[in-house]
Amino acid sequence: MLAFIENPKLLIDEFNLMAYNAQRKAFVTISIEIQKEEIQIIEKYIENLKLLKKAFVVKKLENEANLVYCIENSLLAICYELQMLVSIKEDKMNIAWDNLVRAQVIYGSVISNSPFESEENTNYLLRLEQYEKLLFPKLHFHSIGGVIKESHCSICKKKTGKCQHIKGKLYNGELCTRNITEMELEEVSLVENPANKHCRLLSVEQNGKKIDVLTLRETN
Amino acid sequence: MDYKIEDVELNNSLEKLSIPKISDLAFLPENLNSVDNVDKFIFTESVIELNKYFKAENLNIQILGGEPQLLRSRKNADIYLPSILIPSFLILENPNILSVILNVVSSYIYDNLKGKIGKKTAQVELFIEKKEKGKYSKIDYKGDTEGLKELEKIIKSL
Repeated sequence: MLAFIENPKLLIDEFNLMAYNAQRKAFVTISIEIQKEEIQIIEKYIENLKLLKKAFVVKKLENEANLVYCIENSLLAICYELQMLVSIKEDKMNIAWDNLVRAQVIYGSVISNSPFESEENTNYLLRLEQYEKLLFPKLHFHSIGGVIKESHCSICKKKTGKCQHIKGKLYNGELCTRNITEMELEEVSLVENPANKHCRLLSVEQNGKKIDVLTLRETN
Repeated sequence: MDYKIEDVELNNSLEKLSIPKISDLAFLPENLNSVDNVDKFIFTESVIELNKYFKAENLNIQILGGEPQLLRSRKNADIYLPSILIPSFLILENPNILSVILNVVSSYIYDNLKGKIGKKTAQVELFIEKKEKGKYSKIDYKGDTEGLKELEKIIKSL
C-alpha cells in the first residue's frame, strides 16, 4: 500500500494485470467455479483499494484518490460482468440483467471521469452493450418524470445549487450525485431508451397467463 | 440535427409576473407562460450544472426569478437543457458571444454523453432577442454537439 502512495504508477501496472486476468475469465465457456473464485479475488482487492483511497484523501492527494475510484470501479464493472455470466449459468436471469446494467453504469462513470480518451475504454463499453443485444431479448423500459422539490449534493450535503460540486464528477475519489429527498411524480412512460435500465417491463400477460419476459416462463 | 424556429413574445408573461425586461443572459423556467407567481417556476433539472459550467467560463448568466426551487427531472436517456435567453445587445456588443455560449452548452452535452451507451440527443430552447423590443426568435434544437456548431450560423442569419 505504501509503495502505491509513493508511486501511483505501480498501482496502474497492478490494475492492468488484475484486469487482464479477470477479463480472461469473462467468457461464457469458462467454468463457473473459476469465475466465482475470480469474483472473490476482485472483491477482496477492491476492499484494499478503498483503504488506499482513504489514505490518498488523508494526504490530500485528490487526483490519486480519483485514480483509485477509476481503478476500483473498472474492476467492479468486470466483477459485475462475471456475476452476470455466473447468474446466467445458474438460471437467474433477472439477476444477470441487473448485473449487466450495473457494469454498464459503473463503467460509464469511469469513462466520463477518465482524464484521457482510450480505445480500450470504448471497446469495453461496447462489449457490455453487445452482451445486451446478444444475450437478452429486446426489453421495454419505464421512464419517470417529475418535479424535484428537495435534493442535496452527495459530496457536501448542501441543498442543490448551493455548492460548486458538479453532478457526475469526482471529488476526492467520490462520485458526485444528486440525492433527491422530495419529488412529485408527474408521469411514467414506456420508453426504448431509458436513463435507468433496471426500470423495465418484467412480465407480459398472454392468454391469461403472466409470462416473464426474460425466460418466457409462467410467473406469479 | 433537428431544429424549429418561431417568433414569440415574452413581455406579457413577464409583466404578469412583475418581472422587468430581461437585459442579461438568462435561464428561463419551463412554465414561464403558464404561472402566476415566480415561486411556481419550474426549471429543467440541468440548470444547476449548466449554470456552474457558465460560471467556470466567467459568463454571467442569471436564473430568472432567482435560485430555482423546483426542478423538472426526466429520467429518459436524452439530455434536456434549460431554455436560454440571449439579449440582442449582447450579440451586438460581442460578436463572439454566441460561439462562447454554444461552446459551454456543447461541453456540458459532451461531458454528459461520455460513457453512455446508445444514441443520445440533447434538447435545448434558445430565445434570441429581435430588434423589435420584447420579441424573440425561439429556436428549439434537438441533436448532438456537432449540430450546435451549425446552430451558430443559423442564429446569425436571423
